Amino acid sequence: MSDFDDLDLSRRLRAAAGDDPDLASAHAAVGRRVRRVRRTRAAVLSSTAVVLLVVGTVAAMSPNGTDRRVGVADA
Amino acid sequence: MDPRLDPLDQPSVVVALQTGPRRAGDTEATELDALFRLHYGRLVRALTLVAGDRELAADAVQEAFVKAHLRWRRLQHYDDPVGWIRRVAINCLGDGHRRRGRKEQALERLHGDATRGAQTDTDSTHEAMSRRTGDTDGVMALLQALPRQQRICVALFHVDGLSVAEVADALGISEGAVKFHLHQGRERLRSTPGLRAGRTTPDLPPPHPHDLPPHDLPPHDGGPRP
Repeated sequence: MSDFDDLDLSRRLRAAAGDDPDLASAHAAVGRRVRRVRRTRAAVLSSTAVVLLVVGTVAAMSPNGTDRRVGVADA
Repeated sequence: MDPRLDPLDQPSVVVALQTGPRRAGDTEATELDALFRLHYGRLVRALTLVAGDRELAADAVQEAFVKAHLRWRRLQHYDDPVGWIRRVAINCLGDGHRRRGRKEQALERLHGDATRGAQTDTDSTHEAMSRRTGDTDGVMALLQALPRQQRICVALFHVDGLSVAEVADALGISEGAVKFHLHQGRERLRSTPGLRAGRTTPDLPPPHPHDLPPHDLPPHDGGPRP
């Protein structure tokens, strides 16, 4: 027991802190929030992948690609 | 081959074959569920004293457990994952408090109510807080008058049942600072008539199952309380 233990104060503080919260509903709430964050992350990742794919495809199909040849200048 | 030596005959293997392979997610869920069951209630009760509001405290602790779920692969190798969760919950509580303060200030400015807000008596705020938390002897209101760091020290030590060293670790301050805060907090709380030492308390509410003396609490994170 340390010098700072004060049983009466501890008891009053614990009484003021209230009863134990409902574990089942809190657990369900945490599960919902985890699923929501994971869904959001998955959506962001898949959207980014789709955007990159589209940009890459457009760049590859563009006629102004890298194999553009310079024509001979007319005299 | 001796059937007793056949690895496929071992009971654990039989169970694993019957139930299918154990996935990483199962382990995460099991270990975190155990941590949740053990620590959620105590954390919420301790942070209720810090925030003065049960819902804010529960929200901060839930947010900390959500972050733990998302980082469990790294977190499970930590020496004290509960300490990490506790620190995150305290930080979330501070962030929420700051956000709420900014929101209230903005609303006050919006309604041109700043002068009335400045005149609000702190006693009435404390009374409202006591009503909101069901605090009958005004302990909650007194706690809110303490500096935040002091309040956290008092709550973690007396309600969460942490040792001085564990409180210091949770807050990232020295043990001497924790002892100072505990001493100051106790002196201030004891300076009120209802909390003076040696007072007989016939109107004390019946003890809660968790109202054991701190040294009777189960060891925190596997370590005995010094």
